[in-house]
Amino acid sequence: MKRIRLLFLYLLAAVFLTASVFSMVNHFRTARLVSNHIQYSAWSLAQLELELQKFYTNIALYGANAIDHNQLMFSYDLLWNRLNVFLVGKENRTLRARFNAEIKIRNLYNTLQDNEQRITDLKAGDKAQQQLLTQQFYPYVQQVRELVMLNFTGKESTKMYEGVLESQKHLAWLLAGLFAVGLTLIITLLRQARRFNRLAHQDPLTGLANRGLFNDSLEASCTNSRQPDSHFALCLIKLNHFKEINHYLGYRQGDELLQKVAQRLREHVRRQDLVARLDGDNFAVILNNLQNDSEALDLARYFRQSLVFDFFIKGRATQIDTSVGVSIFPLHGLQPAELLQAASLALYQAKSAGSTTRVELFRAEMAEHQTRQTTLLLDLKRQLQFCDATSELQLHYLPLYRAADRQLTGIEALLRWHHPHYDAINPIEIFELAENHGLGMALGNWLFERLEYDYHHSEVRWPDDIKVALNLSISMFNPALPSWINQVLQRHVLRPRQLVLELNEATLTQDLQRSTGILKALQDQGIRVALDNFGSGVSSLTTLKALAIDILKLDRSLVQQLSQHQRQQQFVDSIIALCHRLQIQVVAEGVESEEDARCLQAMRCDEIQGFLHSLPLPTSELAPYLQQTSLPAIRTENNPSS
Amino acid sequence: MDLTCMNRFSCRLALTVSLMLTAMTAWADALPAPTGDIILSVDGKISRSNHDNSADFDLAMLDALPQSHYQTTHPWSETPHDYSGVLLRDLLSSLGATGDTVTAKALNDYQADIPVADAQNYDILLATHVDGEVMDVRHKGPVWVMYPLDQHPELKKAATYSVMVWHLRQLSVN
Repeated sequence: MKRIRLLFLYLLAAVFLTASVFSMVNHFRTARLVSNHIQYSAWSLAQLELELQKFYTNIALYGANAIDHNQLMFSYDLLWNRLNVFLVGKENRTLRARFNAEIKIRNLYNTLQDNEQRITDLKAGDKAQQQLLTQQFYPYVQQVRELVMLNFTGKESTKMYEGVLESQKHLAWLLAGLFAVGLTLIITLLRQARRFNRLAHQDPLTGLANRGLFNDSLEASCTNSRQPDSHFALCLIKLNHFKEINHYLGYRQGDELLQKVAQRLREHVRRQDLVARLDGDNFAVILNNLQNDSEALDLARYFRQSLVFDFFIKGRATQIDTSVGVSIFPLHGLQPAELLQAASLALYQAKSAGSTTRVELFRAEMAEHQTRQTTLLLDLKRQLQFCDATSELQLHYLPLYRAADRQLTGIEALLRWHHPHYDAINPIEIFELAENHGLGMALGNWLFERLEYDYHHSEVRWPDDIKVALNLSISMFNPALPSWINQVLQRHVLRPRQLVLELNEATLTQDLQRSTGILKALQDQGIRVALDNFGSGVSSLTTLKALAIDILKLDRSLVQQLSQHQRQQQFVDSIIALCHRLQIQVVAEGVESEEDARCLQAMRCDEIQGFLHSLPLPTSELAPYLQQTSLPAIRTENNPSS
Repeated sequence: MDLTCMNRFSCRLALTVSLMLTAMTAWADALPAPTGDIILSVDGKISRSNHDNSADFDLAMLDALPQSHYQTTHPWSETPHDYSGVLLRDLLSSLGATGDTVTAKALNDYQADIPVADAQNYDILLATHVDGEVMDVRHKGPVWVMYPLDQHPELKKAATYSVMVWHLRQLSVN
């Protein structure tokens, strides 16, 4: 297409040049035609003079018996015709109009006609008649001669000739101007076309090839590398934490960083390689003409090394790091789409915590991981559509006991998925999958629906006021959460004061001010909020200070083997004491031994949960535990067992 | 001496001679000698003639050939006129002409070359009549090479005008 357009432009240029040359030639031909026209006129007038001369001479010759009467008459007729030609028609219009020629020649014509009888009757020896005729025609011989001189040798004729020359010169300048303008136009057009062509293939920020050119080049590399021993590699490059850097530095600095990365990339690849910016912080390099497959990894590691640097901005150094995923033609695919997919999976792996070098070559198991993700996503979508006894996706319930008397006070609903192919799926993975594919809200809905379902299908009634703790997906923790939960609870058997929403520290501390608002709105409805897994992450006291949470859940890492470590005991004891001062209830997670339980009891921990008393249970096995509770059973009309 | 039939040989000879004479008479019938003033002579590459490899025509002979006519304007008149006469290609074919060009010579010694292709492509008239009147020397006669200018505007150019020979007297096929 590009070649055709260029060819068209060159063709246009050629046509323009040809047309210009043609016009020039045509102009000179026209000029010649004009002079020819003058020639015709000259011929016409010269013939007239010649035939007048012949006739005039013939009168004398006839008088001297040198010619016969027929010859005289013949020259008379020829002159007659010639005068007629001069006086009538377009050919001699110009001549007629100049120097009174028309009047002079018409007079001659009239004289000729008037003397027809005299000439017809002229006898060879009639000197008187002959002299009369000579006298009559002689002035015309003079006049015609004069006309010839005036027209073709006089000042006027020179003026005319000069006029033609002058106009020719003007026209030549005009054409030359036209030619120059046209040429400039064409050059401009070609330059513009080249510029647009470049722009169409260039990323404006970094000057690298853009996605369009990259796609074309990849396609071309695939097509051109059909020989058995030709290899090339596709590298996909992504900056680590660019989003955060961009957010922190601002977009202008972010752009500067991208330019820097582009420049370093360009400097660290070979001449035959193509560097492109696909979008955002996604770059790509096509390593052409590889000797062998291992060369690809070496080259990728080499240029990646150049992309690990300190970026100085606002007087601060920011560590820049990059991940690279590599796929090789023809090893990992023959089509651009296959290579892109492979490199993209390798990049995913390179970005993951497991990668030490941050440069990963595609491996088959990466595809398997991708397949697993895709399958799980499709299945999750289907599972979220309904909930019944046969659902793969279920809620298991972990009982919660009062530490003091070991009475059941609540249950924590935990997400369980027994996949027919992949077996048990980690709930964290399920939440991530939902989060990453916009299914957070759907999962939230499902959780409440399932709670409702389990409640109605429980063999025993759920005690009144039993606490039900629920883990929500991160994306659901937004300002719309309180009103959404309010709506859900309107049609739900659970009452707000029964509901505990468990959120981890990372979710809550993303935006403290926003979190405060959300917490307050939830608490206004009577819903309690628990800070989950305290002790596993940052476990900042600031969080405790800033956010008015209702419950703090001690992470299992703080609880396990508590009885054996005094320092740990002092630490946990202090946290519990602090929480109580702040009116925060404390729940210990992962309690596995009676010693630990007693320890917690002694520290006046409010509630415990863990394998000591129960594993998370499906609804079908929950009944005996519910019956042990001291809480009164909830009575509702919907309860089948009521 | 009995000349009618001296012997069988003589009879045969007489028969042959008489056949030849008949053939010659038939030739003469096809292109008779002009009886009036010769107004046009055709010479050069022609296969039929009536005088010294030349075909001489008087007005009656030209009029006897198939006649065509059309009306046209030209640079030597302000108004259109109707011209009639024999078509150049008809005249040339009747004489078995084989050349590429025909040189037209006029009574006033003007001359020009007419491409035979022109005669094939266009109805070029050897006009002897204008508006039904015989053309005399005073009116560009006796024969005027006329092109159908109005019928074929592409002919309206100097090259054509220069071969529209008036006072035509002789055509040389070469």
